Amino acid sequence: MDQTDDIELFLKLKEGDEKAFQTLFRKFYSSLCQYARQFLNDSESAEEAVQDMFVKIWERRTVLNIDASVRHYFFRAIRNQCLNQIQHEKIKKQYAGKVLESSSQEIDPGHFYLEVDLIERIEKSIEALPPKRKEIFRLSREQGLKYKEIADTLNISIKTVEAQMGLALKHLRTELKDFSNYLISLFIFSKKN
Amino acid sequence: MSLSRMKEKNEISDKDWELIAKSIYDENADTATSEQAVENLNLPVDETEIKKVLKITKQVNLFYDQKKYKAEDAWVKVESRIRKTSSGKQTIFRQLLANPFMRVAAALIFAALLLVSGYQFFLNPSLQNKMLEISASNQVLNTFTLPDGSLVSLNSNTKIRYPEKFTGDTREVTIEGEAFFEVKPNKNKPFIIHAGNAQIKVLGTSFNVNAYPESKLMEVTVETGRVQVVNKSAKSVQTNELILTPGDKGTLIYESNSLMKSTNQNPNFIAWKTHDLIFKATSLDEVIQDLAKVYKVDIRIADPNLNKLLLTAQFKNYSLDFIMEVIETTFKIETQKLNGQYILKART
Repeated sequence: MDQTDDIELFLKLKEGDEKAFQTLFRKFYSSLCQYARQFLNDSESAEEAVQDMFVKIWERRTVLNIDASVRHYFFRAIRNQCLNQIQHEKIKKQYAGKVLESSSQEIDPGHFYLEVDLIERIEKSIEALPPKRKEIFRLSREQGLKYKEIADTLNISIKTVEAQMGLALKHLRTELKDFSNYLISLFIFSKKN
Repeated sequence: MSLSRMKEKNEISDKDWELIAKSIYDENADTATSEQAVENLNLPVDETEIKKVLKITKQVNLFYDQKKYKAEDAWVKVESRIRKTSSGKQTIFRQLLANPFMRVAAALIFAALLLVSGYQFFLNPSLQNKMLEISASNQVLNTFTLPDGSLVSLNSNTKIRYPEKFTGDTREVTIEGEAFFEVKPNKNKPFIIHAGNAQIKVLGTSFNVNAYPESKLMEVTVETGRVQVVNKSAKSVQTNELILTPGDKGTLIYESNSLMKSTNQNPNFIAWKTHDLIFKATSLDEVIQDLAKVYKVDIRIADPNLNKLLLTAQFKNYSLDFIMEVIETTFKIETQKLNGQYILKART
C-alpha cells in the first residue's frame, strides 16, 4: 500500500534516482522537522538537522539498508542525529566551564509531532469543507482570529461563525476518528531505544 | 455497530459542537486551558468522546504548526549540497574535447596515463581510490561527513583533500585553512591530518585545527580525546612531537620551527563554526579579536582606556550588531562604522 510505495522509492534512491529522493524528502520533511524540534532548541536547528540527515543519506545511499519501514528508518535516523548533536553540545558546554545558560534537553512530553499520513488526512479533511466554512476555519486556525474578527473580516454575523466552526469541528471529528490514537503511539515510539 | 455506540455519536448535537468549538477556538488559544473550558461546559457527552475531540484539536493545531517547515525551500538547499561534491570541472573537459585534435591528444594522453597508473595500481592497490577535494570559499561549510563517518566543518578559505574510501591501516586527510573535526573512534585505524609541516594523529576525538598557509603558525586545540601532533620538518627529536588532551593547545611556529604545548585560554576557539561566544571577565581587546574572527569584520578600539574593560556574557548565535549594541550599552561606548570597519570609542 503506502508502505510499499515508500520502499520502491527507497530502492530507486539507492540506485541514485534523485527524483525518488526528492519525493521521499518532500513527503517526510515537515513531519521529521516537527519530531526533531522535540529534541533541539529551535526550529532552525531542527530544519538543519533534518537537511543534514538527508544529505548524509544521499551520500551513503549505496550502503543503506532498511529492515522495517522507510518511515521507521527516517525517524530513527533523525533521532540519532539529534541525540549526537545534543551530546556534542553537552561536551562543548562542559569544556567551556560553567554553563551560563541552562537548556533542558529532555523531550518535553507536551510537544508532539504529526505522522505523515495524518498530515495528509487533515489536509484532505479541511479541503473537503464547503468553501465558506473552510474560509472561516482557516481564518481562525491559520490567522488566529477570534470570532468577532472573523465576522468583521467576512461581513457576516458572529452567530454564523459560531455555527460554521461547530460544524467544521464535527466534520473533523468524523474524518479523523481513525487517528485518535495516533498521538499516544508516537509518543511511545519516541521513548523506545 | 452496537446501539450504545450509535447513541454516543448522536449525543453531540450541533448546538453542543458549537459550544465546544467556541470554548476552544474563540476564548482560549492555549490547549491546556481549553481542555478545562470544555469540561466546564458540563455537556451531556461521554468523557472519552470529549477527550477524543480535544485530541483532534491538538492534532489540527500541530498540522498548522508543521506548515512552517517548508519542504520546497529546504529541498533547494539539500539539492545544491548533494550536487556540490560532483563539481563542475566536467564542463571544462567537454569544451576541450569539442575540438577533434584535442580529442586525439586526450585519447593518447589518457592511454599513456592508463599504462602508468595500471603499473602503479599493481604495486599499490590503494591508488584505485579517487581523491576528493572540498573547499569552503567565503563561507563556513558546516558539518559534512568523511568516508569513515567522521564529521568536519570548514571555516572560510579552507580546503580539505581526502580519498573516496579510507583503505589501508590509516585514515589520512590534508587540510589548508581551518577545520573542526569530530573523528570517529577506531583504535585500529588512526586518523591522520596533514596540515603544512605538521602531522596530527588522532584515535577518536574532537578538536580544531588552524593551519592557514599564509599564517605564521599552525594551532591545534583539543576539545575531547587525545591528539598527537608531529612536526614533520623538525631537526631534533625533542621538539618533534606533542600529546594533547582536552584543554590543550599545540602550536607550530614556522619561523622558528618550534612546537609547543600550552593551555587553551579561549573558550571561543570554535565560535567560527557555532557562533556561540562565551566571555568570562574577558578584556574588551580580546573580545573584539574574537568577534572580528567570527564575523569576519575589522574592529578597532580607538581609546586605549577601553582595552581593559571586562565583559562577562554569552551570545548564542546572535548578530554582530546585537552584540555591539550590548557592548555599547554596558560600557557607555559608541560604535562608528567607517568603510566597513567598526571603531569603538568612549561616549562623550
